[in-house]
Amino acid sequence: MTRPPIAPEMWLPLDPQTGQLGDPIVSTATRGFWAGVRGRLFRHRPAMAGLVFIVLLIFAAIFGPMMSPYSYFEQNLELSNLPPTYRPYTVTDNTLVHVNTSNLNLYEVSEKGGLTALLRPDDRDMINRQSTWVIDDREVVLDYSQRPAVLTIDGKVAQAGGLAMNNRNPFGTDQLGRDVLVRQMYGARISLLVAAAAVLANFVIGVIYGGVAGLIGGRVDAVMMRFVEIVATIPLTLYVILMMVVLQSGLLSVVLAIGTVYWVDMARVVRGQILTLKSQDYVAAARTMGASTSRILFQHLLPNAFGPILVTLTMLIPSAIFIESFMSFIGLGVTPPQASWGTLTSEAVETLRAYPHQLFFPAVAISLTMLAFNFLGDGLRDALDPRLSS
Amino acid sequence: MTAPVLSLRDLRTEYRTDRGTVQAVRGIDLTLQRGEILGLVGESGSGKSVTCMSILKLLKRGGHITSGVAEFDGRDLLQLSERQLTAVRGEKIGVVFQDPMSALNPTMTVGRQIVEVLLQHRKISRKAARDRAVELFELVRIPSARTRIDSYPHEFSGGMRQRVMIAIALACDPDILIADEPTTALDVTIQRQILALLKELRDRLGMAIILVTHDLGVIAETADRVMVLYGGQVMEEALVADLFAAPCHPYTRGLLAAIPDPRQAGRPLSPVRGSPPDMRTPPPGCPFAPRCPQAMRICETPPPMFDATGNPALQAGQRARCWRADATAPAQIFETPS
Amino acid sequence: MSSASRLPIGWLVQRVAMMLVTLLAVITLTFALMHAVPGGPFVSEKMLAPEIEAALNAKFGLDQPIWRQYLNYLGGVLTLDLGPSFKYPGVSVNSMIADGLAVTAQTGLLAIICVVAFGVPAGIVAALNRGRWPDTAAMFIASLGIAVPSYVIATVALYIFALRLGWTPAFGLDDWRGYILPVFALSGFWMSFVARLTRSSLLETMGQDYIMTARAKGLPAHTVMLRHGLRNSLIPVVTVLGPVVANLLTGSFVIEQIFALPGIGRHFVQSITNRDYTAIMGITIFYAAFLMLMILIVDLLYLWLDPRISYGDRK
Repeated sequence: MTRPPIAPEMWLPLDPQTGQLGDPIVSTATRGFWAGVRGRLFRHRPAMAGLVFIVLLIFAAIFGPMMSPYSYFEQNLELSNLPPTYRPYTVTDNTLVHVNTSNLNLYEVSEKGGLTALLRPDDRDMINRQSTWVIDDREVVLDYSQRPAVLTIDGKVAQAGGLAMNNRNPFGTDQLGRDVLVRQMYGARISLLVAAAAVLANFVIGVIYGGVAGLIGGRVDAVMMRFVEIVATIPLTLYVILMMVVLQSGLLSVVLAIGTVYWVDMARVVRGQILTLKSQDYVAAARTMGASTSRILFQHLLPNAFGPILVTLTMLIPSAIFIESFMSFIGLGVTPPQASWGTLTSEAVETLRAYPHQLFFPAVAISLTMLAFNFLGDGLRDALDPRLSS
Repeated sequence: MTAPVLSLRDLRTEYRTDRGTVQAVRGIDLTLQRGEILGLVGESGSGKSVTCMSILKLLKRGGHITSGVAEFDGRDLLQLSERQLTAVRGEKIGVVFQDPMSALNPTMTVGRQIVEVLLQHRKISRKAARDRAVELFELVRIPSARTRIDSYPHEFSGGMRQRVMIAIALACDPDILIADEPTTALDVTIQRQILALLKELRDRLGMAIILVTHDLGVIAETADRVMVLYGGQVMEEALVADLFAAPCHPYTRGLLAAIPDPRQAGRPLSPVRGSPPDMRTPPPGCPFAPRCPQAMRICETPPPMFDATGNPALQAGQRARCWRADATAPAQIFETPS
Repeated sequence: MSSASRLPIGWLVQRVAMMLVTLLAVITLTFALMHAVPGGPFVSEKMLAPEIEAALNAKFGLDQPIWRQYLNYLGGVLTLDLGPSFKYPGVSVNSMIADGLAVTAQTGLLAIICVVAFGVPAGIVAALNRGRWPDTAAMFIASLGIAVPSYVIATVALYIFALRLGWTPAFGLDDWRGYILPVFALSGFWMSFVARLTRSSLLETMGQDYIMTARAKGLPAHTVMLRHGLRNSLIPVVTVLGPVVANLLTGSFVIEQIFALPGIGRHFVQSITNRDYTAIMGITIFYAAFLMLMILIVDLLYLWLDPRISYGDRK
């Protein structure tokens, strides 16, 4: 083995200051637990997308209905079932009309592109199946003896123009002529309200119930958990339905029904956490130092059980939102004219054949919201337990 | 000396993780003689387990071997396909893992778990395999073997489970047994029994054993020869007696000083200061230099492996990766007491 | 605790006793709830003459004290008689359930088959291709399946496949194609859930030490995967089969409504809108009993799958 000789000064002791080896004691830096959780959560893209969506939804739910010129209950039967987008027909240069081929009505198109008024026909020929309007001295005839109906202007078949936005009602109107956009935002309010109620019930009832059971333990715990077991045997949906039968429909009843039933999972999670934590040394230490039970519960145990509680909460929110819309869909939830995504969907089902687009907005709204909460929940769970992340 | 049963040259293994590539093994050479017990010792993260598992390419997700040769039976194991390797694993080379709690399939009777290996590698009937399994149970001294064979792992104690693992590893009379921290999860008395069993089985069956451990006590009791690993490299290699009598590397000396000595009760232990290097960015020179009480400027240059031919202070067969063993080093440096 | 006598008779007896207690609690609870409804059951009817209302009350035993009514009802349930319907004269709740059971059981069974037959393989494929496109695609679809409510899946599917494309009938179960949409809508969530669970469970199992042992034994990759990985990873999947049954039941309320299927769920929702209290009580109790039976079966299945579990000894 030949190699150049080693210079004598190389055999001198290594000075840590001039060396590039670094301090061995602090070679691996450790971050705080929550800092790590936050970092991992922020890097979880679906979770962040979900969070942004939820924040936007909350803003829309709070401020949207205030800024809309319409209310969720204001009906206008003349302007019912209007589409969000349409293809206008040109009658004269400054007069455009929209034809609803399902109810065979003509609507006036405003300068801004909104569908603003129903045009009543000047003549209805039921036998030959055609309606006639006189607009700006031109004769507009809608012949519905065949499908699809044909519009003629001064005897010539008219062609529909390019796709236009309905500026008056960007999401269109429902079968009672109510603005779909404002009703959607109102639906978001209801969903979030129900979510908030479920969260509150979970926190107050679930955490205390589970905490007390886990902390006292023994016979009390056994009895309390037996009760939870009995409640948990039957699906929550069934309980909520039964509660609704007793309480009669309405938003308050939905909130009450969900609130009284949706704490069971949380109680189990908290109890499990407490039992695990209770066996740990620092709780024994607190006890030896004379800390009271409630102090142990709130100062020591719950902060440590916070992670699993948070994950359970984010999992429960979508299920509470779902159950409200489910109840409203089968007619046991909020009462008309209040709008929930469930009632909006079931109303859309009634008009599904003629106006399938009405299904689009509530279906997308509830699906995206559920997706957003699920993504946030998944991200949170992965962030809290890095071992599980894939 | 006859030809070694296994010889490993310049093995390098990396693990890709979310937070960077960990250089777990950085050029390890290893020769294993027939029938010898070779101890691999080091702290966690030193690369001792990864070295063993690389031989059979049994790496966890993200791990891959970047270079090296593992000559066994006239072939390079590292060049074999996954399919070809199945003929070596369990048949020529058996493995015993650290934690017998989790290394056995909890939903399968231990008998099936042994019979499974036999049926895989031997052309024998299920009945014959079962008889052989009972024999193996008796070999590893599991009482009432014939009935215990239909039990599930959770119905055994930790020590018994490890005996089951050894029985599985020995089922096909392997040439080599890799025992990866086989006693770490067990309590001390059980540990001694298992080590004694391993030694006895080596004497009876003549296979070579690679014994991975972090415990020099286990090495002293069981191994013939020992390699001290640190930072993915071999720091020192010697016959067990030589290593304990005349350790060369400051790391080895540090490890030895950290062993409690009952004859000097009351004397405080002197643990090795600091923690192992981050193997995503290993130190540029000697990996131990940042913690070494005798680090020199030269230590920022990677030291080569020195052996007795260059340094008469080293015993025959002893090798050390430390500049202090360099023939040109000033004499007083080597003599510096630790 | 040898492996031969693993069926714990003591546990089973205790379990059934517990089931009966739970059932009693459910009966009491539903009875209490239905009698807590403001006003009597006939209040919402068009103004009845007092003597007719009295006659009706007498017919249904509502003129008796409440504890008497409760005991009567309990006695009825014990003899498997859930009483007459309030709304449909001459129709018993038993016959209502019997009437809808075939439809609900058929769609429910098909849905469970779909959950297992599509959810588990999808999860396996995703796990085997971890990080590659089949994994990403399967998990994206599964995320949608978990997020989109069943009634939305049902109505959108109804619109696209029945109304728009005309591939399937919009309602009824007159031919096999009628089953496709209801079963799909009913099982969508759980297929997705099971796919995700199977994937994560399989990945976790494949990271276990005993998988490394199996590889070290020289077993071929597919044997390791099937014999050691899959079986153990399916244990958590089996545990969700209990909740699956529960949720298919409640899911059937809305699915049977949308596709106009004459099942128990539809009867249930109709009795709610009709305020048919005996029917609501009867069907709820039937559901509870059925569910508890299912959970018991799942527990026994679990016992068979995982030898570590012994219900016999208590801590």
